[in-house]
Amino acid sequence: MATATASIKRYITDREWIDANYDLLADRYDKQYIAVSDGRVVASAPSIAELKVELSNATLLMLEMPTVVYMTKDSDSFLL
Amino acid sequence: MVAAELRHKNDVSGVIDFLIDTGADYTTISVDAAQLLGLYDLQLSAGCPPSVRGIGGVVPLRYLPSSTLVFHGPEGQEPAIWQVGNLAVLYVDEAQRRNPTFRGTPSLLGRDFIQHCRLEINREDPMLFFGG
Repeated sequence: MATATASIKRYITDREWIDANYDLLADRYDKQYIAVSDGRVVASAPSIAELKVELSNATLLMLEMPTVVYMTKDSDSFLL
Repeated sequence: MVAAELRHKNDVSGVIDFLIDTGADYTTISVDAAQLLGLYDLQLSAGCPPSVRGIGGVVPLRYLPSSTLVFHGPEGQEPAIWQVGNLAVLYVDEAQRRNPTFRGTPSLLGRDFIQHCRLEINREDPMLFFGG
């Protein structure tokens, strides 16, 4: 198991990759969750439950949980 | 957004993105993050407060005991560790988990965490100093 710091570093790296490619990813995966690992999309689905099934079926052996983000082309704003 | 690793007891559960929310009384785990990390499959306990009120209405809470959040700091510095204890999780039934309202809604770092911090905001490099 990776250390906490290594896990967060990897997560931040994946988030930065998602942010850098957000428009392309949002076009392709609008209103879907994507799972990203090492700079590539390893699964996508319209719900977390379906995404987890996709990930469990993936032939790719992943030792760490991928970074998961909900993609949308809508310009959502938060009012919390 | 601030990334933190949730640790539950001795198990590393995963990394969560938090939105710093000075208007939130409590730190809460979103429906997305709870599903992703399998928290709804764990033994979550009732606690106080039993629910939170937001702009979208009232959502029940359950609590993940013995929780710790680990924040990655700048290179070369030790991570900041917040021993939360009972961590609030937005608790909705399976049907509601598919409700688009919850999709993409982040987990929140509330004032129960922020009170331990010094927050410096500027456009270039916002920083959160734990214990500062």
